[in-house]
Amino acid sequence: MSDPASAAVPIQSPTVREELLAKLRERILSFAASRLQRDAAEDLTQEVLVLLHVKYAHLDRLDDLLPLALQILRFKIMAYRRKSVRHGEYTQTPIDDLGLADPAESPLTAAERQEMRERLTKAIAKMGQRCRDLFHLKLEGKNFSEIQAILGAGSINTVYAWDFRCRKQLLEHLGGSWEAQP
Amino acid sequence: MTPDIERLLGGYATNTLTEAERKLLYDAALEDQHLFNALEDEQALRDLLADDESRREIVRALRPQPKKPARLWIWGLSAGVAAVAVLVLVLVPRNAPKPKLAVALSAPTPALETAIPAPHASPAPARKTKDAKAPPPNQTIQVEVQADAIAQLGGAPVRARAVSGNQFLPAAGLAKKELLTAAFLILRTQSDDTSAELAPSETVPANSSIIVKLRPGLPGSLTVSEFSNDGTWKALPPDAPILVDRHKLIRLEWQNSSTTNPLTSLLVLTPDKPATITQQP
Repeated sequence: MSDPASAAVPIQSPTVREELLAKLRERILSFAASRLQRDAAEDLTQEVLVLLHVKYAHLDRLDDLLPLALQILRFKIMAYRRKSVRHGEYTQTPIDDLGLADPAESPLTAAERQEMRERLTKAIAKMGQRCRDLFHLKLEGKNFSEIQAILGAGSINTVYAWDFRCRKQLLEHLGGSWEAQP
Repeated sequence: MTPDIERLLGGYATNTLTEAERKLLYDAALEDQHLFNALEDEQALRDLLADDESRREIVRALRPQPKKPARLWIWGLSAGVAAVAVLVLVLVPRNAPKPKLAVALSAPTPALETAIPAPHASPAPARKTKDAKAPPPNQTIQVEVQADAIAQLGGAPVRARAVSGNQFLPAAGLAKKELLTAAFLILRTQSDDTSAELAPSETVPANSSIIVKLRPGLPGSLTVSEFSNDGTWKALPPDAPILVDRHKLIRLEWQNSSTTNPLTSLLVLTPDKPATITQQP
């Protein structure tokens, strides 16, 4: 006799979530390994996965998990790089790990953000008018379909193509990366 | 990386993808390492744009620059200086002979002044331009195109037709390539020696000084000459003041590598009250 409760199928079964996380792990590890040493990449990947498993256990959709994983991974890589340049501190316990309350943004993060903002602002000034308009509309929350109507493009594919070229152009003005390379 | 899906990357950082686009992108990124890497690279921009202050600053940088106040062309010059400006263009065809011009050049100044009727003079050999814009209120300057008179002076077998905005249009029969354009930016000198653009409604007291900035619409070099008392053209160096105390005939010449002969236009300044004009390059 079967148990009715056990027959109920959840919308997103734990198995599906596990499969998603397994694939994410693979992607994260490959990305991290392309930027860091293998050991460090594996450690970072593990840290990201632990966070997704423990702190974000309630999230089970790719729509939520992927951007979250990307964001955590970026922060982890940034933290790792900062730590690696603090010579002589490898054997010490980093203050970041002591669990001290730090509700405010660190001055370093604020400075990095400010630098990126300034670089981006300068690069924007070199863009053509259409690219500026397109970027502006996106920052106003318009999606590609709405932008197509506003700019009078023949098709949405035209807008995709414009946006792709503009993004590429902007990245070139920034030297190939949104962030200043260390 | 699939090119079609790659084109969605630009919407990731700004978080403006539709649900369908997002699903397409994320599903693909889970299977495609290159796309995943590209998304991770976009994350830096996404994080920046998630910060309200950063987003506002970037939006400010993207806003169109406020347009400068409407420029005053020769109409404003006329009004501002309280001098009557008669702006005429004579377009000299490249290969047109200039016999009459040569006569005019050798003629003494009185002959020149005779040849250029005052703007209020009548009856006119002058042709009033029908489409010349009416001067704004509070401006007493009449703008007329003394086309025939200038044609006579210039010796060119053409008539300047009209002044339209900042473009001087030739009469029918002239090739379009000979169309000359020049922007006149009128600046008022201030007490602290700086200059400011003349507002449309602004008047300038008599005997004050203004600056006319000439911006040729064609690449090349611009030479500004004044018809002098001895009947010759004298080149005016940049910043040389032009005292408009009588009818003045100013010649503007554009020359570049593609022009065999300089393209010439003549500017007639007729004073109501004496004023000083400074031309700048």
